Amino acid sequence: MAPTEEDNETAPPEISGDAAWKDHTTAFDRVRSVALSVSAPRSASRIGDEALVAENTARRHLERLVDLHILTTDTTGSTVTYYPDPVYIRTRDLRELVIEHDRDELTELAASLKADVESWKDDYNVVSPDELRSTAAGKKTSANEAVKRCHTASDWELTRYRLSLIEDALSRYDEYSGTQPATV
Amino acid sequence: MTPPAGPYSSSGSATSTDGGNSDDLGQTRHRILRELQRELERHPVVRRVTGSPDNRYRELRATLDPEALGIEAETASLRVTWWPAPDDPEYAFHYSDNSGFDCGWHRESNPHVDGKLHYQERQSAEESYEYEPVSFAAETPPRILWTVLDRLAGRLG
Repeated sequence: MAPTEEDNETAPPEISGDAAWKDHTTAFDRVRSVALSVSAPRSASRIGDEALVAENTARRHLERLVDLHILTTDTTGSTVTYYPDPVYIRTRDLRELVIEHDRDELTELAASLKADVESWKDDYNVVSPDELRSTAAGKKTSANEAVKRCHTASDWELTRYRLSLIEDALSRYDEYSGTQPATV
Repeated sequence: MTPPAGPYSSSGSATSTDGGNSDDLGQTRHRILRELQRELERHPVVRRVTGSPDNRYRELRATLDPEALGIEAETASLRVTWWPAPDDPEYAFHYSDNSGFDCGWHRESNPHVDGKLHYQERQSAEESYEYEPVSFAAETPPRILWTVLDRLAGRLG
């Protein structure tokens, strides 16, 4: 869908990068993109500011995303906040994995990721990312080493998530990679 | 209405192998990198984007179009990674090309600058980086990405 005038009519003042972003996206694209890249629940106002749209426009698009179960809402506070639905995200990530990789590639990738986890366990003598992160706060750890450990802990968490997706994908590959049977 | 789901809530039965909390941090980082990939693919100077290293998706590698950037180098690329935290994310957008020049916008602790967010560049791998503090109006990954690519065009132009 090409961006339209209507999408961009309520724009805040231009700053570097924003103009190009608006030229290549619709208001909906930007709201969706901001809402799916937050790391904590955010209000329509805050998402709108970042997506370069008015609050009402942001809210309208966010509610569509809630209807589609792409976002969840938290209505317990004074302001409604939006956050990606972890079940939607997981299902989408599974779908993308089976589109991007065949069964053999997934098997190979799983083996590499497991080897990475084993090497972190050996290198740091810990059993989990949380434990690795707690060693980063130790008094004997230099600032550089602490940053490295926190980043490795984050890589480990990411790896664990990817592994859980791949194991799921492999156990039900035909189901996830298949297309709907044709109906006449 | 659906029940509230924060970043540290449980994310499904299949991730319950050891605790759940950390798995959600993994999903969050993966989700942000995927969203950055989608945004990179929209940008006119980007030719293609892959998860790196070897499909592990700890960072993104974007192959850039030297002609669209208006540079003489034959190959140019951008490395992107992101460590999420609600109010204190760390990230790196680092450009390099085959002239030897490389530069980047990083938000991470560095002994050479005050504050986390800075720009760094060097003319070749044999030289030391020069650092300068910078600031962004943007707060979220997609808008920061477009800001960075705009500033990159300014630096290269």
